[in-house]
Amino acid sequence: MEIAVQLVIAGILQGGVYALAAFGLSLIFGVSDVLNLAHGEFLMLGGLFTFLLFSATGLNPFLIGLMMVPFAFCLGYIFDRLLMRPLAGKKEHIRLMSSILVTLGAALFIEDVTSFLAGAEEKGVDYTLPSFFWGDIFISYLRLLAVVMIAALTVGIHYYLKKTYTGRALRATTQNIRGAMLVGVDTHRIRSVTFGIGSGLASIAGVFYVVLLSISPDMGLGVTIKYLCIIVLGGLGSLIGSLVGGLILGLTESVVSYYTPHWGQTAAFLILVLILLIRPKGLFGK
Amino acid sequence: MNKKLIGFCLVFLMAVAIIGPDMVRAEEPKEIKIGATIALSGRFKGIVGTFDKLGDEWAGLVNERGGIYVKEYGKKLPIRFEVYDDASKPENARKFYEKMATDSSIAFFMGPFSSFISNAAITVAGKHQIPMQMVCGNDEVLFEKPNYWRVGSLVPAAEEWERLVPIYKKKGGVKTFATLAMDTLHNKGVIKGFEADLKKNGFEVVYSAIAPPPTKNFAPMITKLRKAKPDVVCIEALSLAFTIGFLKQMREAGFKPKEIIVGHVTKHVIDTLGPFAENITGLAYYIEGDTQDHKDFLEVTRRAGFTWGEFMESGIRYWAYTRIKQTIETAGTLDRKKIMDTMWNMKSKIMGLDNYVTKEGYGALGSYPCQVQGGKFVSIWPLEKALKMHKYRNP
Amino acid sequence: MNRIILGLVLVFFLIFPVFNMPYLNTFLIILFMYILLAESYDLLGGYTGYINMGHIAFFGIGAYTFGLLWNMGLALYLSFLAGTFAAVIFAILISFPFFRLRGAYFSLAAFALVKLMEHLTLNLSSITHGSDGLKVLEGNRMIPMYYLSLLLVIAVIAVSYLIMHSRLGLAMASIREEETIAFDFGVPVQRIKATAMVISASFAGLMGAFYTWYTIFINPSMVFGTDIALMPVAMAMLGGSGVIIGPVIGAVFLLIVEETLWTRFAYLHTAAYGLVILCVGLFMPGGLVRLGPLRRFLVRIGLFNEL
Repeated sequence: MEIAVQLVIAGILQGGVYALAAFGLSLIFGVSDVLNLAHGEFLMLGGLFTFLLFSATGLNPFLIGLMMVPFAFCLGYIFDRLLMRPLAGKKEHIRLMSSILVTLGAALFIEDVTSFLAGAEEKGVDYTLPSFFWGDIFISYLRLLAVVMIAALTVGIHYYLKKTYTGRALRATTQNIRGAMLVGVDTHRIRSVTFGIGSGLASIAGVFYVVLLSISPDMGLGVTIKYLCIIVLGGLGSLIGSLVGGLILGLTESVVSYYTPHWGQTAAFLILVLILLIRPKGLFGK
Repeated sequence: MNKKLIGFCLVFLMAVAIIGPDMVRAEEPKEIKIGATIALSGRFKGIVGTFDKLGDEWAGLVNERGGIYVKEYGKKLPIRFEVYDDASKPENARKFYEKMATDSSIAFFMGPFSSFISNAAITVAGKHQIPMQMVCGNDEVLFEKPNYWRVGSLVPAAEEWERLVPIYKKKGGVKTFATLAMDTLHNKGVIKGFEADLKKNGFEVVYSAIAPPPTKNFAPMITKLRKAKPDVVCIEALSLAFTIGFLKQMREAGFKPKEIIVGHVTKHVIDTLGPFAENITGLAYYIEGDTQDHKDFLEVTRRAGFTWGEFMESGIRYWAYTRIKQTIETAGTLDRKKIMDTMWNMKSKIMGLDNYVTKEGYGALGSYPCQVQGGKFVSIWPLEKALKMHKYRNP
Repeated sequence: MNRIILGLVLVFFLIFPVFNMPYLNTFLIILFMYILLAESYDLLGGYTGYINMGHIAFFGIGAYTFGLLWNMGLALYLSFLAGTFAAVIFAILISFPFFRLRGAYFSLAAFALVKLMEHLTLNLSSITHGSDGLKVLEGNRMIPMYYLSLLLVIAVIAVSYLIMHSRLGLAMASIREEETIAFDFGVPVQRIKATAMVISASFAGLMGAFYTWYTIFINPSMVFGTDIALMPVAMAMLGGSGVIIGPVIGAVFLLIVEETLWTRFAYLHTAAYGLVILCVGLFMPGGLVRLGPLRRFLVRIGLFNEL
């Protein structure tokens, strides 16, 4: 019984970290309708700069992470402005193809330049908070922080989307881009803003990665693929979907890994494929 | 119409010229060239990416002393590496070895990193009959089929951890072991050998698991592992992300076994874990000593910008380079067949250790116990030294 | 005149091994393999508009099926056929559920499928030998592999040409442009998509079998890995999706770029490579083949066949 509780907790906590990174991707897809294969690079860069600044100054990595969010936002904004804007007007499957090419090329470029400048090895930050123990069950405060953070972000973004002008413009663009343009929304700017927000979220996830695990310049594509799969599971463009998707994946991995460690990842992908087959638009897709 | 034909021919010639093979020169060699591919990109980059610099520094050191003496020409010849990036993929390795095979000025091949890339490389060596000194590859698959043109540097994978067992046997204090291996050919082979060794010596393996390389969530495994109450936790993984992830989560779980053995410790693992890394036991292809080889090795790594503890595989590289040098000196010629014979039969000492090749082709370099002490990776072998210096993490 | 040039090119490739340049030979084998993968991907991706990022799954299934059966003693040619057949069966099986997905959902689900296959082959190690890898009988097969690959590439191009000028091709294009309307007009959409996928899969599967036969030693990440999965798709898109010669040009371009950069720059060649892909994606959205000058040139020599 104890074990079950531990597994569920571990699953939820892991899922929280997954959801954090997937959130940003979901937002970007919802608004721009492009597959961003470079998302993982922002995560990696967030983690990398946290590592570099932490090594240099010793400041609390989360503080560093928070300070970096504006930079990540700007980076994402510029990325969209330069690279994605020209693709906006094209036909749907040309846009999909071009976005794959452009973001893949960007990802390869960022990955290689980073590993050239910063070294290709694993980097990790040594920062711990004690775990909370309850009998034999342990809950890591760090992971709890991740879950709290994502809960806060969910509420925050929900509020943002409902109440602020930019937020509502964002939703409008997601629902009907022509309509949004008709009512005077600058859809190009909205897209760049969204990209910025998404990248900021990715960099926060990167901080968690570098503290809980480790990062390396070549991790980008691998995590991008995983998160793309999560948001597809949850339903493209749905924030709740990416949350739930992350949680489901985290739980599946957790439970299966206990019994047969090497089937953990397989089970997760299996569930993903099965859910998509049952609900072709993902769990909460439109 | 003529323009089209001309245009086509031009484009074709250009393409061929860009990738065309080297010209063949048949005359007295001015230098000794060693051809190799290294994973300068791709997933093995973090483990061996800096070794091209190491090779160049070693060649530089040898050339400072005039080069390698080749009796046939009665003089010393300088040595040079020709390195290509195989991007951690076997077909690329194969392609580049094929490219180098057409260059008759290449005296030797040096192997790539990892057994499965080496596998592709040795087929080329065998086909073109060029001597190949493998470096990082010691799994059975490479030695199953006899291949005259390749020899290895390392002892078989199953013997990699064998020197740890006597330490625990002599020292006492631990009875049960738990093992976790990353799901790759090499890691599994190593752990299987270790577990067999343990059982032979009266130890008990209470938990044994294999997990796929991209695993990030180790908490369930740690939960189960804990219940088995092992004294020693062993983790063998080529991927540092895997090792670091596991150890960090063990820390989170508050699980403190008496001893932790990590198969591939490097500076990055130590830095990432901070004080938690203290007294982690590991292995390196190096033991302390006073020979000229030692001085050379430390000098070369210093010039390349790192220490042997930061990249434990560097010891294997040095071994391979020295073998090549000794082979040429012993054979006295650059004739491929004679060199290859010498490769198999030569017996010498490198860094104070015996250097030879078994009849299947395995090398003689094994790994030696080390421990992280004071934030540094320290060699603790031979046995007497180990018994004095080794400390349990949580006695 | 054009025919003569094409004929010359063909003859050149056919007699190439005579020149005895093993490096170039190995390079060409890799080139043919990627051309085949890109071209067979485009049969589904370019013509029906369903971007199958999981195309490599067929390749991997063909590779493993061939290896396993040949090791068990099945005759060589039958093993090749079995590999193709396995990929075809797989394609039929997944066509039913997967074609209910659209656009990016389809692409990502297909990709997830590849990752699933990678993990399954890793874990079902009692059958597939998992991470130890599958080893088949050794042998030096560079020349036969060269010819087999070349023939397969010619075959896939020929088939593409036939499809393009047939009603099947027309139906596929209609699905790409407006699927619902095509359906309303009575086009048997599900059947056409499945057919496209099956043809696409058969070529990839056979190539997979050849690959195992040639490289002798395969493991899950070699045949189902992320990089080998994305490359053919990128090549087809980069060269020009929906045009027969598009994927060919894409594969040739990327491989030559990669090779030149690789041998010249030991570092940062991947970055340069990424930059090239990025620029093409940004500035030439229809692919290289639809670039003004190149397109006109190809049209004039009659090689621009677009669906």
